[in-house]
Amino acid sequence: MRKIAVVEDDPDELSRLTGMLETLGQCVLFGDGQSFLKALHRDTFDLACIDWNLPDVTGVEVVKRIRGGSLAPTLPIIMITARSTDDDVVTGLVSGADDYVTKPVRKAVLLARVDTLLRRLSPQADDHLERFNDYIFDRSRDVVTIRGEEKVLTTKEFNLALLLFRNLHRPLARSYMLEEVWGPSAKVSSRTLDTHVCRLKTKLGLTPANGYSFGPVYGFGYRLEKANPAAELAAG
Amino acid sequence: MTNFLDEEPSSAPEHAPVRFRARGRLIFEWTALLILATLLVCGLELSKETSRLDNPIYDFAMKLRRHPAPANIVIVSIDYPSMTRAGRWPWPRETQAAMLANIARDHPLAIGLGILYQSKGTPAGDAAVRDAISKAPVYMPVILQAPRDGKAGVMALPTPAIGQAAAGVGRAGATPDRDGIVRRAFLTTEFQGRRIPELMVLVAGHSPHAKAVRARAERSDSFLKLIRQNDEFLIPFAGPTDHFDRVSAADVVDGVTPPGRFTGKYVLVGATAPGLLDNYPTPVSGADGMPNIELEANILDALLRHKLIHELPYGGNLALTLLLVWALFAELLWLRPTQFAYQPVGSLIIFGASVAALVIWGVWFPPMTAVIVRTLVQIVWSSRRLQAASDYFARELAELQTRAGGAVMQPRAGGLAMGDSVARQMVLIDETRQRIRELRRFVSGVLANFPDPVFVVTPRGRIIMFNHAGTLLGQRLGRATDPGAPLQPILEDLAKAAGGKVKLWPPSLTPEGPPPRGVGPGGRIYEARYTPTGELEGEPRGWTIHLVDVTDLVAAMRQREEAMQLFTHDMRAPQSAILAALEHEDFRAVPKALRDRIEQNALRTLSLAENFVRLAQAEAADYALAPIDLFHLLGDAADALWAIAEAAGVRIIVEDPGREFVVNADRGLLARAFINLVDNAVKFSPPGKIVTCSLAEATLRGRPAVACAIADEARGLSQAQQASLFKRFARPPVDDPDSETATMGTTGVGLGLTVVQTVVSRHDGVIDCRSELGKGTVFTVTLPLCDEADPSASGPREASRQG
Repeated sequence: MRKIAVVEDDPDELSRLTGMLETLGQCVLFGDGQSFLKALHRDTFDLACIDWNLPDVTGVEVVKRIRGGSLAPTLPIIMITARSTDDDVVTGLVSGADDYVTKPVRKAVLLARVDTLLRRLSPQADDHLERFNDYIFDRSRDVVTIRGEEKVLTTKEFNLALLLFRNLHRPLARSYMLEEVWGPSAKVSSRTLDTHVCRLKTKLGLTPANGYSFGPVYGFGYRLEKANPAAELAAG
Repeated sequence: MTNFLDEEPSSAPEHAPVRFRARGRLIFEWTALLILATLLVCGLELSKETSRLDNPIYDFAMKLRRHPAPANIVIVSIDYPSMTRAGRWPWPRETQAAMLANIARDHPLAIGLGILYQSKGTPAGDAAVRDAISKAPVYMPVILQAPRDGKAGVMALPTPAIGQAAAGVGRAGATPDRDGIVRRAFLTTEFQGRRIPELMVLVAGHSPHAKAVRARAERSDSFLKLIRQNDEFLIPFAGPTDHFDRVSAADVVDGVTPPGRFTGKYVLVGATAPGLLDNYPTPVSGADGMPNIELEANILDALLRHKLIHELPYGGNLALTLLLVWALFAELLWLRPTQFAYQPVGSLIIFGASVAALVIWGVWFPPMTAVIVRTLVQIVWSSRRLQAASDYFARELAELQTRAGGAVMQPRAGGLAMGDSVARQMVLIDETRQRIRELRRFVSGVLANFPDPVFVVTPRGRIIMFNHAGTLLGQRLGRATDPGAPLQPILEDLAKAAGGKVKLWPPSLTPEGPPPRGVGPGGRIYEARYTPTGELEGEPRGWTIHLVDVTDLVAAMRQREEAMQLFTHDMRAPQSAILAALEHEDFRAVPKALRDRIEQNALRTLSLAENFVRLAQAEAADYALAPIDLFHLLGDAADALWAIAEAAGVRIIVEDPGREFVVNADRGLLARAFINLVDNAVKFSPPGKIVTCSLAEATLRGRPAVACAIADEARGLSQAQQASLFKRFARPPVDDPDSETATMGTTGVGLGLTVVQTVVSRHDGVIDCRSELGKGTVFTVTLPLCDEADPSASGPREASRQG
């Protein structure tokens, strides 16, 4: 049974979040940041959902302390925030949070993000085939098979696609993607990445109609999402 | 403010040509004067007009040149005592013969006679003289009379009865200069085709030592050469009249001279008694002049001593004079006008050198031409320079009159005072001084009216000017703001009150980041703005420090921050809480229709807050621009709206333009603008219709651009609706509130299009709406394409927003 910390001062919100997450694991509730930070001394968590606005310290501050401390520096953290501007998102991600969810929180979104983070902890190894639902990646040939149909990609496209699928639902920074795919010293313009993403969209059919979407995280990078049309309805 | 200061920037480029013009004019005048002076020198040298002025200098030098009377020359002087003792001149030839015999008895080297024996005397007398002459080498004079008034010239030779016995005849006549003074002699004189030697040349040439004399002469080659050339020379006088060894003729006649008195000597016999009219004025003699015989003695002395004075040859004279004059021209270019005062010293040096050359080396250079021309040049040049300086002052002053404060101050009544130009200029200077004072007062006045403290300081921070607000600030801080006081303590006080982290002094020519802020008394916040006042070799000549009171601005900023905080969180949080609460079990009892309405309203409030924040962002200053392909951006926008479009039964098509359209844009804001546009189109489209996004080439303000069209197939907009489209808070066109759009919660306040318009115009783009009722609406956003060649435009600049 996994242990999930939920740090949130609004009782309604708290009970709502617990209701969503109880299927995934045991929820431990904290009303403020300090009590959570103290709890870290005697308890271990598999995941933390932290509200940005806490009565004592801000959520960003809590994340920074966790990342900067020695107790649980790798703890997967999802920021939950009423702030929805691009700058706020970037601030949260840069402070060390793995992901963020804006309020009002929708169950489908939250579960998808939490699932990704938890799965990342236990990656299933395969020799050269990696499966993501209908998409099968053959690392030996740079080929993606979608429902039996083979799509030939260039090495860069393949690597980028694999990176996105391995980090499904997770926002990836532009600089991180450029480094992972093109190498740390490559002088590649940010627009090359846009072009590759655009090409993948067409080649692999990563469109909302097919149940996938690229959410551009403005000022930060990209996130590939397996869309739930119903859940996304009110996103705009 | 600019009116009187506009003189400052324009004066610098304008002054240089003035200086250049002055320089050009200077060179022109210098050259012209040089040519004139050279011509003048040549003219004066040719005409020898200045020799009259040179003579006094020559005479002065000659007096300095005296040397002891030579021992080997004796003058037998037919003087006044001789007259009294031997009777009136001419004496009987027997007496003269006795005198000559007495001289010859001592075996002198040679005898030069100053006595003419033109006419025949008694045969006995002539015989006695001839007899006496034949006993010694005696040289006799001839008188040459130059041709005059058509009469032929006459050469008066001694009577043959006596002349036969003479060793030779030579010319013994003085040749006075134009001023009547004798300075020169001729070694030979050409007369009717014959060359008549100077008597003393013959005397000097006849002696036992003649050989030695000649050898010496040949060694120096000057003696004979001079004779051959019929050249003239200047007589180096040994001293004034009576300088030579003299024996009274009466003593010789009487035979009372000691024996051997004339042995081994050159003896010159001639008249010295006054009244015999045989005197010539010379440089060394007084008003009475020098007897001819003594003149001859000087010539003889010079010949024997080889100490002739050489005049510089004509060419050398001219060259040296020109050299001296040109030297002055060189000085004119280098010397300051004040050093011109030393010019007389130059003339004195030339005089001195000329005198010294004559006294020491026996070379004569007439200095007056050089001195005169130099003086003239000096005067002309000085006056020209003075005139040029005066013109310059007059021009500058007049310009200053019209420019300095021309717009600020009234021109003075009465215009320029009459009088000479110097008086006028003094009046001008006086007025200008007053104007400058008024200007200063005006500037102070302008400064004083600044509401914020302003200080003008030196590069080291000493206060030059300040205003009333500055004084007040200084007083409240307990610091002095007098001229000359340092400004640093005040700035340090402000910085300290601001937490000590900011530095307000010294200012930087290349400031980084925003202007520093300090905190003054009463919690006022001052932003320090530094303006360098004029640069001198890359360093500012001072600073104008403007302490802008930004307290209200900061307060406004804080309020805006707080408002943003309100909208981003404080207003959203309760709505989220409502939505969360709605899902709570306890609400199950509430009818679903009611719950849905509560939810819709909460969502609408959320979207209102969101749009408000977006508008604020769109209006904010910090856009993070990066090159972006618009096709990607449109694709993102379409993807983001896919779910909504799907739910509404509307299809969004993004047409692939087949090429890149790269614009320099803030990705997030521009995407939001397109999402809003597409969102609008989707919302007003009936199910089954299509929203088309397309890109095409265009031009905007003459530059390549991209036109992005978002077309729908909805009902279209009326003219009135189009007109009010982009007004803030204008509601979207909902004609009948019962239509499905109204119930879908799409009304809200019409901030969406305002956000679009703001973002587009901030990207230097334009937005245009064309609509036809019943056919649909097309929104066209035209954006300038980014210059691909600009390297700074590429690269992940977005990263800067993270910080």
